[in-house]
Amino acid sequence: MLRTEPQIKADYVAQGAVSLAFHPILDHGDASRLAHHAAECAGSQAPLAFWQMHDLLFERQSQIWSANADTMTQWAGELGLDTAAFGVCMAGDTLLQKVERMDQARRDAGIRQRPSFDLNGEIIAGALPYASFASLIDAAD
Amino acid sequence: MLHLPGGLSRLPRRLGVVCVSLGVALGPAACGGQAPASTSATATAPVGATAAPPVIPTVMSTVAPTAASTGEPRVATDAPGEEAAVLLPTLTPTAGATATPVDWLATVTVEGDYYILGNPAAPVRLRDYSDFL
Repeated sequence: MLRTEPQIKADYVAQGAVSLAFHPILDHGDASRLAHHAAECAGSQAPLAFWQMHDLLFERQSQIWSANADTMTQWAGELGLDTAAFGVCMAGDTLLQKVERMDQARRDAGIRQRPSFDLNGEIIAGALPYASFASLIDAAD
Repeated sequence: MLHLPGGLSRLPRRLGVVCVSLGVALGPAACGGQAPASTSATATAPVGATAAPPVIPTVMSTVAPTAASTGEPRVATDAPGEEAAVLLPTLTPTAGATATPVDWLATVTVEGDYYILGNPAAPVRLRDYSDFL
């Protein structure tokens, strides 16, 4: 939801009409694991930091391929997070296992296409233009 | 983009207040309390931290890191004859005071495995299954 998310946030989330949840899909091996692990480690320090790291990861998408745990720790520092604690988190596997478990859960649920969406229980496979999202959201409200 | 001021450990320090009682020790609920771990947290005010209007002077002060990091109220002094100052991480107005609009874009609630951004009671929940790559 990279392109449409900012508009959905501005038009619906900010108004209290829509809440967002993010479910990991690990389609690109270690690079995916690294990124999702970083988002979880950020969230473990402060819930809002999950979404800040989420946004940062999408902004720096092209850099993730060559990134490592130290890169993620540096980015966490840019967000004002405790880098020592973040590094410990990234070195551990608790939240990595959480990410992998969630990824498996979506596979078990038959959600294969990336991205996919669950809008009040209705599964939508594939990216949609903003206008389509808006129509679905307005109809669901 | 919102930047956390040094993470959760620094957030209370930035918003730290000294709630000075008039001979009556105030519990955590009186001047704003610690937000539960499983509820929402905002960058500007903690969830659940409702407080009575301050009838006593409050002073913005730096909160000691240990107290701030735990988010728990700490009695600053217990000397006889002195008022007990309870250092609390936050202070929010109650109903009747001017209502501050909720910044839903800075509100995140933990629900199970998910970090829910926005109004957790919103009529529409949109779950994004995606990769960062």
